[in-house]
Amino acid sequence: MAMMPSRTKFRKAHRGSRKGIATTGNRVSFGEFGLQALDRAWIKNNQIEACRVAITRQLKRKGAVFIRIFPHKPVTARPPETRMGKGKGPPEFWVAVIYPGTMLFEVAGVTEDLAREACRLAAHKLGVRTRFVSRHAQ
Amino acid sequence: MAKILDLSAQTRSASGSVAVRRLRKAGRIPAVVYGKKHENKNLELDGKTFSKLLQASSSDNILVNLKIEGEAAESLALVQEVQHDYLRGGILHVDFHAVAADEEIHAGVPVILKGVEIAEKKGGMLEHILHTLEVHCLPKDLPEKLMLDVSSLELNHSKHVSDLTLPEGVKTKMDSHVVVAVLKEPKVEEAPVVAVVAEGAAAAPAAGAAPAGAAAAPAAGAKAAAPAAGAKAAAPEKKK
Repeated sequence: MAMMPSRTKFRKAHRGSRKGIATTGNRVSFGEFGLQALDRAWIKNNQIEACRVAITRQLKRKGAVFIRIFPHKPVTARPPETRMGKGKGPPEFWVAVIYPGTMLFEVAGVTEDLAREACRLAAHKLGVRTRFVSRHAQ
Repeated sequence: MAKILDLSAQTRSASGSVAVRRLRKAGRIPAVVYGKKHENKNLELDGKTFSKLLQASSSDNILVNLKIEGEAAESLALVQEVQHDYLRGGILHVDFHAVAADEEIHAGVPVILKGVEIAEKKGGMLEHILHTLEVHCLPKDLPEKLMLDVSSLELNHSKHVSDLTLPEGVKTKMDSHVVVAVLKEPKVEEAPVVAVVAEGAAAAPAAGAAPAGAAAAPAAGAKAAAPAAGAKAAAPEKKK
């Protein structure tokens, strides 16, 4: 099940700003190793789910996986073959706003080689440049 | 106990982001020293020396004898905070807390687990939950790290703050029931469940079921084996 908020105050949100770099959530806090974003992007909820599946399958249910991002932002889209106007379209999907430096996923309880391979597979599901980081090296 | 290292620093007159950026480019690190009985002072350090000092230590808690250029007396200081650039690497800024030798300080000390391999041989997965413990002590008693032996840990059991042996003169205000590490039983694999579904599907044609039923069985099996694939197939439907 892809991640989405259970309840929101407003159905639709502005696009917002993606300036700057990650000032929080930018270090390995829960696990031993992590996957850090180097670009700014909107990451969709199904991409996060694909990454989670890729990591857990590679770890073969060993270790622990921490998802450090959550898709809070709804994105709307106009229905196909609709004329302009008549208001903003309905919410289509959810995204997490990612800044350079954001820690996307963390892994614990496995060897570095296994964690590195799992993060490599997860990175292929994303449209951002990423980096594998270790708690001890930061 | 943590060693007290010598560190020399120069007073810094330049402040503000532009001046500090220039300083970093020149291989220097901006720093500040403050304390109860110490006047606040902007400092600058040699980048290479401080990086080596950090690498040699197991934590950021370092006690230094700060020798400030132009000042006669050395002052005992604790490295209170080191700001790292998490994107490009390197150190951005250092905070020194000038302390008196008889003044109690508090600092986060790393908790290192010992005997992890022995514990994991019991078939569990060791989860390290508390990585640093905040302790209160005199500067001379500040430990570099706290060791916790987890080799005796049984499955589904945990080690708590109360299991940590603190050196003499070191206290913690953290609740003794807080979990430091837990040896968890690994999650049961779903594979046997899939095998049961497949067996049931294979048994259906043998019992004389219609070919349509046999055709439906692998589909059901595939659905159980790959929930992610099912989810992927459902997504475009939602889009329509």
